[in-house]
Amino acid sequence: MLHIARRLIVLVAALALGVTTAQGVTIGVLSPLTGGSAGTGLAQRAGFELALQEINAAGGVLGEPLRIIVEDTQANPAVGLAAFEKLMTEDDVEFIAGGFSSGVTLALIESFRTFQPIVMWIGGAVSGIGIDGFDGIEELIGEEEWFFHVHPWDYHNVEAATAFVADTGVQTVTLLHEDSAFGGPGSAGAQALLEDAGLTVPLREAFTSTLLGGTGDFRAAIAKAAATNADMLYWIGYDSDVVPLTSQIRELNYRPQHIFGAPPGWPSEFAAAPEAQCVTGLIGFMPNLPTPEAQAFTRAYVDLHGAEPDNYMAALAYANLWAYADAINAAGTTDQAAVIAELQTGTFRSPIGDWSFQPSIIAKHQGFTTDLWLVFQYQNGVREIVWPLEKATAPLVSCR
Amino acid sequence: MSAPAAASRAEARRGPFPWDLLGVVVLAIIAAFTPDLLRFVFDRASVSYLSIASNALSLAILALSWDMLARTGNLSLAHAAFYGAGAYTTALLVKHADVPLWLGIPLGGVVAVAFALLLGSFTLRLRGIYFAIATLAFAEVLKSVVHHAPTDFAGGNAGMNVPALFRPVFIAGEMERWEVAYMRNEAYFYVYAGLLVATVLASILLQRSRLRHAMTAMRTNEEVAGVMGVRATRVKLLAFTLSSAFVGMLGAVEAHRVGSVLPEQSFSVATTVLALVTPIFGGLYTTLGPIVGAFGLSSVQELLRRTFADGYLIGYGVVLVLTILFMPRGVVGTLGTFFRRRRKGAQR
Repeated sequence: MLHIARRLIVLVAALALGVTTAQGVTIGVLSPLTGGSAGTGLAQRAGFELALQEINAAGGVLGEPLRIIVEDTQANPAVGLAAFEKLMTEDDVEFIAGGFSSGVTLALIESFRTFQPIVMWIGGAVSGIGIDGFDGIEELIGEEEWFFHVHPWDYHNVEAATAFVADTGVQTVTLLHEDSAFGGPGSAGAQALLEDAGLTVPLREAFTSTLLGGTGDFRAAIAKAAATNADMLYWIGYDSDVVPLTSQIRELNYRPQHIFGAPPGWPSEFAAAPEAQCVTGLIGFMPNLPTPEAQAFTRAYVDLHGAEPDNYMAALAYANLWAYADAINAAGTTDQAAVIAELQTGTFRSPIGDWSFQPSIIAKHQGFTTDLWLVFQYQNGVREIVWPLEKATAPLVSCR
Repeated sequence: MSAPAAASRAEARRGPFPWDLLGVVVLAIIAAFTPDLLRFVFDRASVSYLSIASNALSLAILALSWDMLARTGNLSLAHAAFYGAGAYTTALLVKHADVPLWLGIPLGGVVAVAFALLLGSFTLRLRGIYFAIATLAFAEVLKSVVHHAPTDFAGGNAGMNVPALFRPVFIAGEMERWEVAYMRNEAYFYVYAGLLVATVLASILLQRSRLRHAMTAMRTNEEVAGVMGVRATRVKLLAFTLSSAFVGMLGAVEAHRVGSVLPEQSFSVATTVLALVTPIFGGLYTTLGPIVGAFGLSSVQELLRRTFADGYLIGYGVVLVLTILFMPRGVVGTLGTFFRRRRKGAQR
């Protein structure tokens, strides 16, 4: 009797919540669609939607249309935890995609380990390597078979940026960084690598990002940087810092040879601003990347969403979903061991070019590394790729 | 003496029936059976419902503890500071003192109280917007101190790991994987429920004591309250201490649950905003209001999220704005007025 009552209650609850059973493969996506990181999450969702459309137009996965269920984490660890558990216990997904924010990822690791779905994660870059007494994502995940990390680790980001700086030929670099888990360790790592490369770092100064409650007045930090007379100003902050920081650099008439920034994204309208001229930035994907894959992705993205992608997370999300589709189709089954084997050995498509998983310092499966990163420069209202040279659309120019 | 008069006198001697304390007992009983009930109804899906319920309990503790100070008429924006102080206390104890994990929770409350006394001794003579700004600045100062403390001590920008309080072990062949998550979530649910019951008890005792009248007088007019003999600074300090103790313990529990502390996460302004929006929605200056606000807002948000995945926060915002416009005394205040009017109408 109790058994029948329970079944009835579950059925009524399921109907009330609009739960339907669906055939075919479903992939659960965790992204911050609201809150301070919504820009990144919405870019991810746009990339997933494009890949989903193409995958289903090409026959779907295992002969059935692929489904995705996108859950909003709000970049909040407790909300992310509940969202992941919903995907596992209510939606019964076997594959997890998406991901952003190291805080959310750290909160999810224990739960990932409990359920052990295949997790292909495009966010959460804090590896923990090089930080004494702190275990980051790479250290906590260790060599788990079911975890696939797509985004480069923090040390890859720093290596790429430092390689660009060294290639410019500058001798002195002043570092300004926002003072959270993003900019703090990143700037410390950058200073160490730059000094190892023989460059001088006369100043490393922190500021509070406007994203995290800062006032947007960076004049004190900029004045200190100007006093060093360094060849390059290298800053690490967030998208919302781009406009106030660069306009205040102009206002204070500070003119280093190069102004190089590494925020996660750049405001799309910034290109037209006069203070953008000659500013350089690190980015994971550019719509004008002169490769057939990038051009095809950009065209399809514009057709679906009506504008070019302005955040590289769209390209990573696209690569994320296609890798799942190709691996499951190649395995011919959703059996976890078979799909893991395909992910370990396969080569996958992406707007950035073909890619595959290789071991990183600790983790068993690392997708993109330093090779993801490009450096662009605003030149007369256009973002030209200036580094690496083999992908460059224009030469780097000096701001002086 | 007539029989009704004697009964009335006897009732006056006994005092009114303690409905509020009975409410705490009912709350504790409901909490005790909630995990089993959710498992019975939703089976494996109870895992995520338990997480959502824990988040709602956490919001209720945050809101009710903030309301305790708000009853004195002071708008505190320091809740993020006390929450972060609790979180960092347990993280530092685990890292440097190797104490039992559970000890970090009460000590998180103690450290938060110490900070409240420090802040209170400097700011409680301030009033209105000056007090609010001083408390907001305090949260920023604490965050900055954590940022700039030696990295090997407080983790700096990268933060610190905090071990989980509960680590149920999966036994292959004897259980399913979701049951491990259920056991973990069930254990955390009981910790949050216990903390909420303690917060509710403290709030009720405050409401039943003479301090309630002192707080109401201070909220209405602090000068007049002072003339009437209310020692305003002492009352505010007591409310500040109680308020910070519970939110400090909450910060410590949450640090264990999410596995890390980061300056931006632990001292987030969003914590303070939630702490004050929830009682405004549910009803200020009561024990029931912040709890109704927490469960009401959590349910509305979850329901909207599951119904309109796109733009559900717009609906959430509309609910908040409509509540403030049409129910300025919050859900509990408005319902109370409605029932009082009905009762009076029926008596006529």
